[in-house]
Amino acid sequence: MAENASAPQSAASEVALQATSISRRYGAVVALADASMTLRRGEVMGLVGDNGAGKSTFLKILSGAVVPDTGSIEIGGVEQSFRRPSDALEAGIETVYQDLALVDTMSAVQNVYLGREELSKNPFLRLLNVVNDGGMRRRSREVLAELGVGIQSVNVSVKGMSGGQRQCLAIARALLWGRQIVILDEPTAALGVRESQQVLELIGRLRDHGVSVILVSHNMQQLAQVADRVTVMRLGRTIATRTVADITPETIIGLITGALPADVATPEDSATVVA
Amino acid sequence: MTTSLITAADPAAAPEGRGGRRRPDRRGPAGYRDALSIAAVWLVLIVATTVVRPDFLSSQTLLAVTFTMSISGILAVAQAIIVISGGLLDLSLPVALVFSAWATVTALNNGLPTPVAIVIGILAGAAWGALNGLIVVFGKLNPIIVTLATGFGGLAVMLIFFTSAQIPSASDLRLYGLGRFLGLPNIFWPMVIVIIVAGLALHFTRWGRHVVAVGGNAQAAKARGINLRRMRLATFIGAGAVAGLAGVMFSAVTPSFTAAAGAGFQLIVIGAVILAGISLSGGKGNLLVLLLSIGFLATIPASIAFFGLPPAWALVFQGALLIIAVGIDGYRLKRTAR
Amino acid sequence: MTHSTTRGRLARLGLIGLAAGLALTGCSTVGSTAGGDSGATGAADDGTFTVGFATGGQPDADWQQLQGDVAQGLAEQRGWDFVELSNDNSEATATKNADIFIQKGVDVVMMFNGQPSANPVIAKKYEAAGIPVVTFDIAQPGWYFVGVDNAAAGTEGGTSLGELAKEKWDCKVDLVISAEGTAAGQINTWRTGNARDAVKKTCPDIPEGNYVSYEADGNLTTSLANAPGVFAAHPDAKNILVVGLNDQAVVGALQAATQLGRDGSIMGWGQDGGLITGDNVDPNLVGSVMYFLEGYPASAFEIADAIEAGDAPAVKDTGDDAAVSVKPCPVTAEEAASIPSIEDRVSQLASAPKGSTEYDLFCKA
Repeated sequence: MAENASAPQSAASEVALQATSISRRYGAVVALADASMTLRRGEVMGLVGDNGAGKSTFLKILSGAVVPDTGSIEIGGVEQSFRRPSDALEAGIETVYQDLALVDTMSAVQNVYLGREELSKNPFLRLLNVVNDGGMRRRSREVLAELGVGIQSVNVSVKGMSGGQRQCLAIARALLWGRQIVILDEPTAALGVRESQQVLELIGRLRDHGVSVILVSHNMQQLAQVADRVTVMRLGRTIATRTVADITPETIIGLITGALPADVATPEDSATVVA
Repeated sequence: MTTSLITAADPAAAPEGRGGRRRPDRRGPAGYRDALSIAAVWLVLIVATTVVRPDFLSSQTLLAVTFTMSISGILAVAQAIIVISGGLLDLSLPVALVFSAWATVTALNNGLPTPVAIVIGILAGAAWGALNGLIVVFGKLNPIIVTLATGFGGLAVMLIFFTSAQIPSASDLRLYGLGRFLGLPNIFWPMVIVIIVAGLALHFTRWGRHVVAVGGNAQAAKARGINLRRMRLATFIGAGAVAGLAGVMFSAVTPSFTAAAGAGFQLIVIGAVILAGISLSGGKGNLLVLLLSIGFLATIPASIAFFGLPPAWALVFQGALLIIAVGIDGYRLKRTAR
Repeated sequence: MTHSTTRGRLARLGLIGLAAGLALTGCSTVGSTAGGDSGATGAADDGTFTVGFATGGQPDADWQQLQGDVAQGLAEQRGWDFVELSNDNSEATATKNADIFIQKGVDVVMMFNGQPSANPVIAKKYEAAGIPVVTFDIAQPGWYFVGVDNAAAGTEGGTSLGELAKEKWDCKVDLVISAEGTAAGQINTWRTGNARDAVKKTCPDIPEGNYVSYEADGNLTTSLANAPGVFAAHPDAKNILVVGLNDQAVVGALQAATQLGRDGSIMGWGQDGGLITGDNVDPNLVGSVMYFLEGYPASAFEIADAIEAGDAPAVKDTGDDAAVSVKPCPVTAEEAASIPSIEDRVSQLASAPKGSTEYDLFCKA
């Protein structure tokens, strides 16, 4: 199940996801005019933009929750057609939404395995659809420990957990399932400073495991700390992609607000430009 | 969900310290707490009645209580499945029950063998559940409103087809309904089996996990690739099949019934489910607690009889219980939402 | 899915409700039939005496439609015009029917209205139009009340049961169970209470402590849920009598006795005759009281005859003081088996001499 969890971190220039010229309209409203992104193996890509710039529509399309009108998505060079979230999950894209997608009334381990429960090894119980609780518990403990996620017990209902714990759990789940690509939507928005730090460290560990991360955030400092590159969206378009090391937060803010024009900045598909 | 996020402290750094201050919200203990509190209330009722009437603890009382538990217990499992899966409430269960019972006795009256008639009864319940499920899922309507409507409509349609239905008095099923096993009414045992099987299935099968997840947070379940429509439809059909079994048992102990005969079960079944801590907001519930809850409610009429209270007290108790049960549910929600 | 009630959903819901309403109306359309040749349309003008008859239209009661059939036969027998409508078990329809009858200028209205909340309004309309009304079973001030004598029904049922107890057990009765239907109010007091009192009177030596009551709510399901405790609470009782609001309530107790193995020596006497006929009569239901509800019009036509003769009787409009009290007919299970089916009774009544009631024809008491 998690055979890719500790994949080599080297393959630096390998493209994990290629989204090209994606658009989507709701009636007369153009939510996404033209969005493209090249995500490499083991990199953290920041995604920034003002409210209504199209970030969330773009994310929903990448996670299969919304079907695009035009454009293509390739994963590992293979063209994808996501009709529903489970398609994206199968293709190896894990999305952690702001609401964390945890079921409060269920335990940590149940949440981690939700939708992909391991069945019992006993053939008879397996036939009866009985799950292998022991195995799932063991495996979640291992992965959570490996990622440094501290929770009292995997059997505890997640309702009692802090925001940071919940966020970490949701992210760790991606790794446990061997996802190649993880999309994080404002993972630290509701967290305090120290909890945010925990989450950022976890993102760093994901990258170390060779996972590619798309990180939506409004926090430029955090992006500067953890992201490799940043893609800027404005008015439904991806207008620029920059290497974080090369730019200042002011530049990004200028791009977001339109103070810096897109055409003066890097062209849309900047994958070849920045290296 | 939002409230729990507003915590600045770092849990990962000092999990032990936080654990101490946080309300322990382990699933097991919460279930135990519900079980213990209902068992305690039940025990108080039994002790109080025994103090007044020492002969309360008798095999006759045991027969009376277990018999009264049987059909409402099975029906309560059907309701519990709906509630846990986030379907709010199925108000048409009494109609599902009578429809299944009618299908069963009609099959028997047409000379079909007993096992076939039983299967027909269960399938009738499942079909009824499928009808509700299809309307809820594809109409995207509130299940309470839908089942209220189908309940009324179903009753009206049944009234067209029969004024009263009777099981053949010499049929095997009727004799089964009059018999006993291990000193308790025959129909008690299917109820116990249904509660155990459904309880285990909810907790230890993939299907059960998905039912709980859909009820607890439908969007989260969907994001995990669980097909909400399919799950909702399946839970309505499954719950309908359980109600169908209740109908089969009902036909076995009721020599003659009208289309409206199920109405008497509505309150006790909803009351039992809420009392058992199966929150109307979905996603949680323990069927063994439900068994205790049914047992407690089934003891009340016997206690009233032993106390020699006037008959109207039965109605007063029923109404009061429902209010208390809803109050408890509201209190639990408020407490856990902090 | 969400359960928010957006405008669109409400609209959809409304449509469904509307469709359901239409479907229901479609199922029980106003049945307007005409007796004889005169037809139903404005027949009053020719001076022929016209009866307006509104059936209850409750779907679970065959007798309501049969009341209409009986009334039609009686009108034909007299050469009167006859207009029949169905109240469709709805206040609105009942009110609308009143307007139709008034417009047609009927000379007397007979009705059963199972949704009596509209009756005060309907009464106002008829009062203004000067049309006398005969109501079945549900009293309304100013209307001739025709209904079964529930008080007598209780007493006669209880007396019959008491006499059986005297004959079989020499009045040695350990338990007299009343399967009450509290919600039925006065009717419950008449049927259940009077039956209990009649048992007391017939077998005065039964100790007061042997009389117990429980809530059966007039239906077998509730009765069967609550009765087991009653038997458990009286574990030593052998000879047991059961009375109650109706057959369902009594049979619930009898079935509970069977479940608890207490049916060795138990007798129940029901009310309304609902479960005393058929292939599946509870062996311990020794008798019931039949009301011949479908035959009510025979009593109502006694009043109509007087009105037609220009000699309208004084209005008696309560159950205690009824214009015509329909005599109840207590029957043992064996007697019940020899009473003709409801359809046969209706056709026999139609061909019986004027003034016959079903009690005269079928009750051999």
